Amino acid sequence: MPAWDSIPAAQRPFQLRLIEIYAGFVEHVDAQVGKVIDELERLGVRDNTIVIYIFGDNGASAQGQNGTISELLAQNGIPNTVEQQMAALNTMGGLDLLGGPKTDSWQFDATTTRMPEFTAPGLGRRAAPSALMQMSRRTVPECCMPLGDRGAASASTWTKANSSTSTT
Amino acid sequence: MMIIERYIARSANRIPAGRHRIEVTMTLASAQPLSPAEVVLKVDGQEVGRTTVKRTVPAAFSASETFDVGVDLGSTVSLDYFKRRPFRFDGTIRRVDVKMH
Repeated sequence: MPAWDSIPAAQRPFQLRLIEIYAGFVEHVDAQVGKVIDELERLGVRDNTIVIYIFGDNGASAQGQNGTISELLAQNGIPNTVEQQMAALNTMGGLDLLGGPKTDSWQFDATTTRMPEFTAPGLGRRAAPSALMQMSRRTVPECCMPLGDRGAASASTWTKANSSTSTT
Repeated sequence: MMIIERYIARSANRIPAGRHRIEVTMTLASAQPLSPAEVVLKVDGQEVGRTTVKRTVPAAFSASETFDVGVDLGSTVSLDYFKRRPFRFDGTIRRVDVKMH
């Protein structure tokens, strides 16, 4: 992913919109996981719980591209530029359409979006809540970081600690 | 095509109710991937519209898209009926043939 400074000014609104959408997606996931956490609290097992978020590697820019209005452009090997994508978007109604049903970005497709996975290795179904693992909520703003930084930051937030101590 | 390019060919007149044979022929300019193509619409053997698409999809990775008959699931081919998607045809489709030459 190119550094922010290298992105032409005319393309920045496009990238900012993609970042906003991804932040919204992460926030939505966080809210849903919060419901699970609340239930664990109610069951009295939250202190023995770790939650891990498993996200794909796409971030705000699907498949390592410079953002896309249609994931299938890349999957089908159709050459294109950000300028062409922005032009197509403008003929349909502009930037606000990104992230909505008139565009097709992989990470917002309900059939392919990866929700957090809850696993209980070796503990069986009954003990599942105690095997939940959590990645720190610091992952939310990381969606705005360049890919390299994001990877490093993510690694530092992986923890086996209790969720109540890993949330900062 | 994948949102980034869109072409429209339409008949000048509305197709009257009743049984009709509708054909869409697509002729690639070359066997190369991304080749341009000429698309012709015919109703009962008579040409009613045509358009030239600058390039065609070179692969067949469909992922979230679907192959539909009489309905347009996934992203709509035309934005004209976007608000009425999936725009299910309420008539009768007796037969669909796909021929490759």
